[in-house]
Amino acid sequence: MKQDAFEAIDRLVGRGTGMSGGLSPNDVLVQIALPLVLILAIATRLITMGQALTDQDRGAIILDLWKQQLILRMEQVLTRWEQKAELPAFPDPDRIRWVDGWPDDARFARLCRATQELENIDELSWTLYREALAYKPPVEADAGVFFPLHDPLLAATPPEHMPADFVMDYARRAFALDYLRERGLQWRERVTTLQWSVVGEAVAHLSPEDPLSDGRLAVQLRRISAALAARDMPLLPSVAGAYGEE
Amino acid sequence: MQYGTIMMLVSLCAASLLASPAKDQATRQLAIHTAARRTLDAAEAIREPGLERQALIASELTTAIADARIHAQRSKSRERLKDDVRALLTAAFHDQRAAILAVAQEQSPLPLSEADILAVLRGRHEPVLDVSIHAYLESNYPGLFEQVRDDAVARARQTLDRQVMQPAFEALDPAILKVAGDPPRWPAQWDAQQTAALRKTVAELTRTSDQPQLEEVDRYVRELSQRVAEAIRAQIEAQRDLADSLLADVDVTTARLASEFGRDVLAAFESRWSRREPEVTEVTRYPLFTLVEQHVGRESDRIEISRMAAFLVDTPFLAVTADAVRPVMAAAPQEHLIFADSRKRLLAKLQQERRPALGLAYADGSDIPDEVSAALTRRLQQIGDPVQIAFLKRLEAELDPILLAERKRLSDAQISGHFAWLEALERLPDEVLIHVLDRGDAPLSSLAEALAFWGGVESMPAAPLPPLLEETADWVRLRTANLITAAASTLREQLALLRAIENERQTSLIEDVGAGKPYAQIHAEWLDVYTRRWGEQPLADGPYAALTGPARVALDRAVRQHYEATEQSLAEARQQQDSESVEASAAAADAAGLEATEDPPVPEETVAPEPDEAEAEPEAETIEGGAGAGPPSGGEEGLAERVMPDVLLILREQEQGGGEAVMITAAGQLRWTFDARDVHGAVEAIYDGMQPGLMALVDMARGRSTERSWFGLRKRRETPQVSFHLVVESGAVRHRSSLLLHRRIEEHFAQDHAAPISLDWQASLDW
Repeated sequence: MKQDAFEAIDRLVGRGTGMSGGLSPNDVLVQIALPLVLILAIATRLITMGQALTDQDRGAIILDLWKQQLILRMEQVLTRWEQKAELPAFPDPDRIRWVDGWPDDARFARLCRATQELENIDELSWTLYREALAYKPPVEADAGVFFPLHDPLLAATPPEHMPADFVMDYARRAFALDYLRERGLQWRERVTTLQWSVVGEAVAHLSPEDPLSDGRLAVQLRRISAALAARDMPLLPSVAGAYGEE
Repeated sequence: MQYGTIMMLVSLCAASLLASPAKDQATRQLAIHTAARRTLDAAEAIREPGLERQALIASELTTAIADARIHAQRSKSRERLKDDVRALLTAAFHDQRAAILAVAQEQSPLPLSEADILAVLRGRHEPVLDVSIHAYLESNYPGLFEQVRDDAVARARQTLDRQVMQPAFEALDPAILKVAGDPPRWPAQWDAQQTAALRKTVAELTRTSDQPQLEEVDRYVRELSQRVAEAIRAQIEAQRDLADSLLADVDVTTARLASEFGRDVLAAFESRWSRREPEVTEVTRYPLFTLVEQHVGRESDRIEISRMAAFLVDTPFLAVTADAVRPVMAAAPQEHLIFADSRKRLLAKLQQERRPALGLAYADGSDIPDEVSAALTRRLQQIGDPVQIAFLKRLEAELDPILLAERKRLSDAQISGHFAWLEALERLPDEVLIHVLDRGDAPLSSLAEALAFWGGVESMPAAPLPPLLEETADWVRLRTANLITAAASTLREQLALLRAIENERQTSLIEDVGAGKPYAQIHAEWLDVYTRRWGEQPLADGPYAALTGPARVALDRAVRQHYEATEQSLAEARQQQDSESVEASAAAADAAGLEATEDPPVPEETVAPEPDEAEAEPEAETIEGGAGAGPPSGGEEGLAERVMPDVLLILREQEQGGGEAVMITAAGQLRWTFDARDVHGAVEAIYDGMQPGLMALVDMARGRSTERSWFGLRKRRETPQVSFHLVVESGAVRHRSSLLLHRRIEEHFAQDHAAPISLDWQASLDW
C-alpha cells in the first residue's frame, strides 16, 4: 500500500516507469504543446523580421543617381525631424519620468507636441519632400555631395543646365512620398505605443473615486487625454479618440 | 473542457501575449478602471434607484404583502420587508457587478477578471453600498411601501366592495327578524347590542375568506359591514315608513278586516317600493323584509280594531235610557241592592241585547258583509279583546249616569221613608251619649253596627226595615258615625275641662272644706264655673252648647270625692296630733316613775291599727277622682311635720308619655317605667320594679322587731310595721291599679306567717 503511494507520486512528477504511455491530455498540453506553440510563435516572428531586413538590403543595392540624391536628401530631413521630435530619447516607455501618477517629463511633452504632425502623414510627407528637394547642407564641404533636383510641381522653371535625369516626374515623386510615408508610419507607431503606455499607466494610478474617473471607456480616455493635454502632453487624436465619442 | 477548445484558447493567449501592444494593455486597464468606477456608481445609485428597479422592488413588495398571515399588521410588515428589500438591493447590486464585469471583459482585448476590478476597488464599494441601502430604506422605501400597501388594500377593497354590498336577502331576512327581537324593535330603537349583532351578521354573510386579511382590509371590512348594516337599517326604516304611510292613507283601502287591509297595503307597497328612488346606493334594494311585513300585519289588526272601536263609540245602537234600566231593577230589587252587582247585571243584559244588531250595522256597505259581521261579533264575544273592551266601555259610559241617577232616586225615597228621624237629628241625645263613653268614636263598619247603636233610642222606629240600597245603608252608617264623632269630641273636651277645673280649685276646696262650707254650695260654685267655662269653648257654638249629661255626672262625682277626701284628711291630721300628744305624756310618765322597770309594756292604744280595706277604699276613691286626697305640697304646717315613711312610691307621668315609678327608701332610690293604660300590667310592672327594695325592707323591718313589756306586767313581741306612702301624680293611673298594688304589697309582707309584717298604707296625689 505504501509502495503504491510512492509510485503514484513518482508518476506524477514524471520519474516513474511508463511515463510516456500514461500522459493525460492536460499533461500533453502543459508539458509539450504549450512550449511548442511558444517556440513556433517566436520563430515565426524572427523569420518575419529577417525577411524585412533582407528586403531593405536588397533595395539599396541598385540605385539610380537621382534616387541616391533623393534618398540622401530625404534622410537628412528625416533625421533632422526625428531629433527635433525627441524620438530617439524614448526607445521604450520606461524612459518617461513620472510624478504622482502622471508623467512629468519635458522631453516627452515636446515629443507629444512635435508628433502631432504624424496624425496627417500625407501632409507631413509632402512637407518633408519639399524640404528634402530644397535641402542645403550646412557645411560647405558637403556641398559637392548634393546636387539639385527639380520637381516641376514645386517650381515651374528648372535651374539652368538641369539634366533631365534630375527632374522629378510622377514615378520619382511617388517613390519619394512613399519613402517618407513609410517612415512617418513607423514614427507614429512608436509614438502611439508610447502614448498608450502612458494612458495605461495613468489609469492604473487613478483612483475610481477620483473626479477624473468615469464609468464610460471613451469618456475616461478623453478625460485622461485632456488631463495630459493640460500637462502640455497632448496625445495623438487617433489615440485620444480611439474609442470614439460616447 | 474539450481538448480542441483548450488548444485554441492557448493559441489565442499566446498570440495576444506576443502581439499585445500598449493600446491593448491600456484598454484593459481602462476597462478595469471604468468597471470599478461603474461599480461605485452602481452602489451609489442604490440610493436613488430608477423606475425599473423601483418597479421591481414594488413587485417584490406586492408579492410579499399578499401573504396576509405574515403581513397583516402594517407597521410590522414595514419593518419585516425592510430586510427583504435590503437583500433585494444587495442582490441587484451583485447582478449589476456581474453585468459590469461582462461589459469590461467585452471592452478589453485582454482577459480580465472580477478580481482585477476588486483589486482596483479595494473594498471601497462596500461602505458606499451600505450607506446607499440605508439611505434608500430611510428615504425611498417608506413611500414605496406605503404606496404598495395602499395599492394592495385598494385592490382588496375593490373586491370587497363587489362582495360585501350584496348580502343575500334569503339569509339576511331571517337574521334581521332575529336581531329585532320579540317583541320586535325597529332599527332606530335598537340598542348597541342589536346594532352590533346586525353588523356581525352582515360581516358573516359577506365573509370572503377565512384566511387572515391585512389589518386595513379587516378594518375596512368592519367599516364596510357597518356601512352596509347602517344602509340595511335605513332600508328597513324606509320600508317601515312607506308601509306606515300606506297604512295611514285612507285612500289605499276601504277594507274593514285586517286580512283585506294587509293585502291592499302590501300590494300598494310593492308598487311604490319598486318605483322609489334608492336612498342608499351602497346596497342592493331588497324586497319587503319579513319584519316590515309582520308590522303591516300587526298594524292591520290594530286598524281593524280601531275602526271597529270607532264604530262602537259613535253607533246609536248602544244608547241607553232610564226606561231601559228601571223595569229591570223593579223586577228584581233584591238583585240590585249593591251598586256593583246591579251595574254588572245591567251591563250583561245590555251586552246580550245589543250585540246582534251591531254586527249587521257595521257590515253595512261592505263587499263581504257576512265576514265583517262575523268578525265584529266574534270580537265582541271575546273577553279581553280590545273591541269587546270598547263595546263594554261604551255601554258603561251610557249606563253609569243613568244608573246613578236612578239609584239616587230610590235611595232618597228609602231615607225619607224610613230614616227621617235620623236625618232630623242634630246631635246625639244624652241617653245615647253614655254609649259613646263606652265605645269612643271608633268608625262604624256596617249598617248593622249603626242600627245596633241606635237600639236603645226611643225615637227610632221599631218597625222592620225593607231591603235597603247600598247607598241608603252607607248614608245611615255615615250619618250615625258623624253624630258619634261630634259627640265623642264634645265629651272629651268637657271632661278635660272638668279635670282642669279640679286642678285649679284644689286649694280653694281645702279652704272651703276647712272653713266648713256645705257640699251643696261648693257643688253649685263648681257647676257654675264649669258651665261658664264650657260656654267659652269653640265646640259650645255647635249642637252641644250645654254640658252633656255625662259631664254633669262626672262633675257631681268629682266634687263629692274631693270634698270627702279633703274632709277625711283633715280628720286624720287632727287624730294624729292627738295621738302624738298622748304618746308624749306617756313617755314623760315613763321617764318619771318607771326608770328601773325593764321592758316597759307598750300600751294597747299606741299600737297602730291594722289598715283594712275600709280605710283603703276611700283612698282609692280619692285617686279615682283625680284630685289629691293628700295635702297639697308645701301647704299646711301639720302636714309638713309628716314623718318620712319607710317607703315612698311615686307614680307619675313621663314627658315622653308612659308612667314612671320612683321608689324612695332609706336604702336609696329606684326608678322604672310602666304602662298605665293596662291596669294589671301596670300593677305587675310596678310590683316587679319594687322587688329589690321590698326585700331590703323586709329585712329592715324584722330587724326592728322587739319584745316590749307593758309596765312590767307582761312581755309582748311587737309585730314589725312598714309605713308605705303611695303618691299618684299621674292622672292615667287608675284607681283599680292602686287597689291591686296595695293588695299585692300587703300579700308580700304577709307571706311569712311566722313573722308577719304589718303595712301602714297611705295614698295621696302628691307629697
